[in-house]
Amino acid sequence: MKFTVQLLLAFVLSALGTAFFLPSLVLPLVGWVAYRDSPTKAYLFAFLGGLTADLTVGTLGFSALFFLFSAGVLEIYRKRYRLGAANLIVLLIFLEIIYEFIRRTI
Amino acid sequence: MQKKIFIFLLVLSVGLFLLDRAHFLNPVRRIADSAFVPLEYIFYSGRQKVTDEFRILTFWQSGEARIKYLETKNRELLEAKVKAESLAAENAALRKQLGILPAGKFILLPAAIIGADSAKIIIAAGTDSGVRPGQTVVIGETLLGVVDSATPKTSVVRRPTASGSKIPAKIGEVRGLIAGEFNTGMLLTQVAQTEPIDVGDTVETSGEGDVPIPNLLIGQITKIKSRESDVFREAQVVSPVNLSDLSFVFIVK
Repeated sequence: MKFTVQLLLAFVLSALGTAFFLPSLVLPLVGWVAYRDSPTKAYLFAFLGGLTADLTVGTLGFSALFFLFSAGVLEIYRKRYRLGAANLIVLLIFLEIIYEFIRRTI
Repeated sequence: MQKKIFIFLLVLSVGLFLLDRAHFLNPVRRIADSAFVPLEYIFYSGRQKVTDEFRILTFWQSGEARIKYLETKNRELLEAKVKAESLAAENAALRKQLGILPAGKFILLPAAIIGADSAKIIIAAGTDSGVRPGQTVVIGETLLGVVDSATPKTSVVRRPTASGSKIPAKIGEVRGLIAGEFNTGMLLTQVAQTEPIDVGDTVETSGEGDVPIPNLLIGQITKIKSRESDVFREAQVVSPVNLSDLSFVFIVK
């Protein structure tokens, strides 16, 4: 998927996420980019997608920081083990729970 | 190279986080919000429409019982209305005599809801409109929450159901505290065992603590949760407001 299309999708998902109070809808996209494309692209997308999510709700930089952390975790996992679709979903759910917990706590 | 990009973006994120916390990025937010807020409003309105459609599908199950309940409540309200009208006239006369301003005359700022969950509401009004943390948010004379944080165009409202929320309340002459319960409900607590509270009693703000306006409706007691051996009486309180029916709220300035 083209990077600009992914970013536009992040924008729409962020607005949709705010309506349902789930701004981390962008997180699966970070996972998708990390899974299908390069880690560099995943980091950049995590940063920009995170900023998009932060603009709808929360403090700028918070989601960007967490999505970058998530992309980093995915990359470390991919280097050591095989990152299949099932592992990716489990990792994303795990990261999502942490993200939601921190976001609702601070 | 990959590592360098990662560290650079990480540092940049931390920098942005700290700058935004210190409100240095408000001009940037103002521009970005101009694009985001209308879109968020469209999605929130869309969500409400979809929810309404689905509500019709489940209405047949509980509809009949609810209609009967509402008919009873309607009759009770009519009786209460007559009583309230005579009391209002008496109150107005007394206020006139004592030279007190009419109650409930607040300066209200309307704001569209652009996001909500059981603990928070996001509204399309921020510091540019004069919104600041600590202000009370209402609909009619019912409390919806307190502004928790504000950016130039949007604000986050903490609802009484939010964990950590504590609002001094009263039930007639009885004093208590409304505490948020796990972001899902409200618990009336700090009520002495000897105080008479019962299911159906209305809970109002006392005008102390985070909500400086007295007599705003918080909700109705639906269940007494404590036992006689407990130090304080505790009760479950439910707000009469269904947030999914609302598009706008009002901030008391």
